Amino acid sequence: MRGFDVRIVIESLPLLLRGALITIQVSALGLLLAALIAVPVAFARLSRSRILRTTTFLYLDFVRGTPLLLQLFAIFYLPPLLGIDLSPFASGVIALGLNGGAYTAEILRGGIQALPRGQTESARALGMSALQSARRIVLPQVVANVLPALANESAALIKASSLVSALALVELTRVGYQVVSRILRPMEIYVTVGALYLLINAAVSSGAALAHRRLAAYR
Amino acid sequence: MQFDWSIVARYGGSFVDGAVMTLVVSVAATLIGLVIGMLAALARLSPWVFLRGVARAYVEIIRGTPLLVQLFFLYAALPLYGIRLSAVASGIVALSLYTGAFAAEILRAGITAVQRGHVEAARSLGMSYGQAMRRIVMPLMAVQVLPPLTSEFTGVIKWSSLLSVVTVPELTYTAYRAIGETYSAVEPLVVAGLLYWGLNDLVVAVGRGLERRLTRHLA
Amino acid sequence: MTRTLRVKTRTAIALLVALATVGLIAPDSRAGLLDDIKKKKEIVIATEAGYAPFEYVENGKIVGYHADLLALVMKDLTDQGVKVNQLDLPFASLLAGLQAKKYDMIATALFGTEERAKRFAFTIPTAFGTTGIVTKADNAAITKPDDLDGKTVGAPQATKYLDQMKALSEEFKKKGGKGIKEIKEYASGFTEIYADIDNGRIDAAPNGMPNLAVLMKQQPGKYKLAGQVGDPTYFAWATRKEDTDLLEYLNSQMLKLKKAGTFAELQKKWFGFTMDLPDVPTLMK
Repeated sequence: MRGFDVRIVIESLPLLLRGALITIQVSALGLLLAALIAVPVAFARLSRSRILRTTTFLYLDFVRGTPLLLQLFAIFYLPPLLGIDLSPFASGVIALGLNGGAYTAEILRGGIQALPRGQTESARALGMSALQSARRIVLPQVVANVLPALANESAALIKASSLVSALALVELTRVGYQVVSRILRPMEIYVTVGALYLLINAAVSSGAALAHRRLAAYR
Repeated sequence: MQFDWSIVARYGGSFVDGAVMTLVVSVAATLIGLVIGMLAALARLSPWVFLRGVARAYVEIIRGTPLLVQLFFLYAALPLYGIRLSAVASGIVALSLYTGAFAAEILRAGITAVQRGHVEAARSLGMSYGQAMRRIVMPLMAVQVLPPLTSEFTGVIKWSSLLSVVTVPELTYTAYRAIGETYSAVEPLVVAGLLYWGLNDLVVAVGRGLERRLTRHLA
Repeated sequence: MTRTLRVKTRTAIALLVALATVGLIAPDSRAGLLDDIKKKKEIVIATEAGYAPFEYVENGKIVGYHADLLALVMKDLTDQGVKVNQLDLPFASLLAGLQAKKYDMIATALFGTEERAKRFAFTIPTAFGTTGIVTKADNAAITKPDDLDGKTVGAPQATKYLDQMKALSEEFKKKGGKGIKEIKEYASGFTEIYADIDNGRIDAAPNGMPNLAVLMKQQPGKYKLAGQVGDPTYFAWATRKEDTDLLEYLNSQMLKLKKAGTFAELQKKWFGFTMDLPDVPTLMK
């Protein structure tokens, strides 16, 4: 029976932290892409154009109905057929962005639909264009309202970044796996890896809580 | 480069086997996860601080760390302490624990949502506590938690794709094997993707059907 | 059927029809991969860096026999300013990725088999790869390959080792035995396989003799060898069939290094012995 050897944790920490940095990079870029995709898709899903509604529906349904791991493989192995070559890092960011974007779009859509119509109506009555009312009236309120769900989604994305290890990207999980392959102490290493993920998530959720309080100050 | 239908023909049977394994693993994990979740939910609502603390720790840790890391941990670390599970068993255990943590929160919300008033009213009508739970609280709770639980199940189906990493022969594993043997990534990924999408639709349809039947007497 | 289901089914069918016909996206005819590489100033190489002593990761870098060899073979190109971009990817889809043009070549411990040679081209052999059987040190029941009858073995997906185990099982059955009880296919690589031998999930596994030698050194006392399987086999690197200019470059560089004795030097360094290798691509069945 082996005990928990803290020295192993300390020795592997530098290597693991380097992996954590890659995790943060992939996740941050993935979240950014997800946000950029989610907003137009959420509005498109509610648009009057049937084509727009159907195409976005198919995108959302497919991405939310199939495993992220499969989407990751597809993005890595399929684009070369069209002449585009993506690195494991880029594939990871795009897969996380498309996937996270789909879930975020649905969260936003729910928030938009929950907003009283009076908001949009008065904005338009004041002379704002659709784009202006979306940007200055609807979106800020929706985001403030669904912030907890968005924070949840961000945490999910950070955890999902561990899947990019399947393409051998050297983020936190992959580094953990490599270290365990070498020194054969899965207990110490995976517990440390888990703890690091918890730390990253805690940092993000306290950031979100801070944002929530500042946004709520408007009410 | 053409879409090679012969690959679909040759591996069709294996893909079906993979899909069956995916379903089996997902059903097992969802059911066991439900039990774990219920226990954890009740523990969090119990009057004993220790029980509440343990349940809270379980939920926070499992929900805050990636499933992949938990999977690696269970697969590699447990044998060192004498617990040697087969790949499929480790996969089901990991998935059950993972989904159980999320189910715990859903169920906890469901239980607290059903007002005490219902229980008191039922008791005043002469029902025992057990009868009140069974005929009033549980059905009301079922309606409340069925939608989130259906999406939990579809989530499990997608998360089951990670089990491919620890040699469980489910759908993603089969796709990966086909890619390795045929040197072509397109066909296996497309087939696997469509199969997952179809499974997802099936589950959603069944969930909606269940929902309608359960709420018939309430309409 | 509900409306959404109808829409989705129609889309799925449309997607399949499109795929069946779209294969007509022809890649532009190229002057030659090598020229492209020199123009782009980058060569992308795929490796599975989980295979000591050929290629493995140490402190974040890919090292090993093939890593050293690659640096020397690429020297002429790197001197011209070409950057070597080495990707570390899972083995099972390495060849699929090469086919899909995700990278220019594969430099990893890869068996040149006749089956693979139908789609890809191989360089001259870089090393010996005869397959040995490894099992737990205290496993008295398995001392030679024939003892695998009725046992459980593991091998990585899409490898020649896997094929060898399947063939071995067939042989057992033909001779009246039970065949190998179960052949587990691993998506992840030898780390899991060795660990599973240690904890008893599988009884034995095949791997190249040089790799097993390293395993014995790194983890003394835990495992033991149980004989060899099959004919002597060779590792080589691979390119797509049409990229003959790149293949020529690789082979000519390797032959140059061989003549200069560098091959022998590297082999001594990483394996502890030198190997007698053919000067032409040599395939195995």
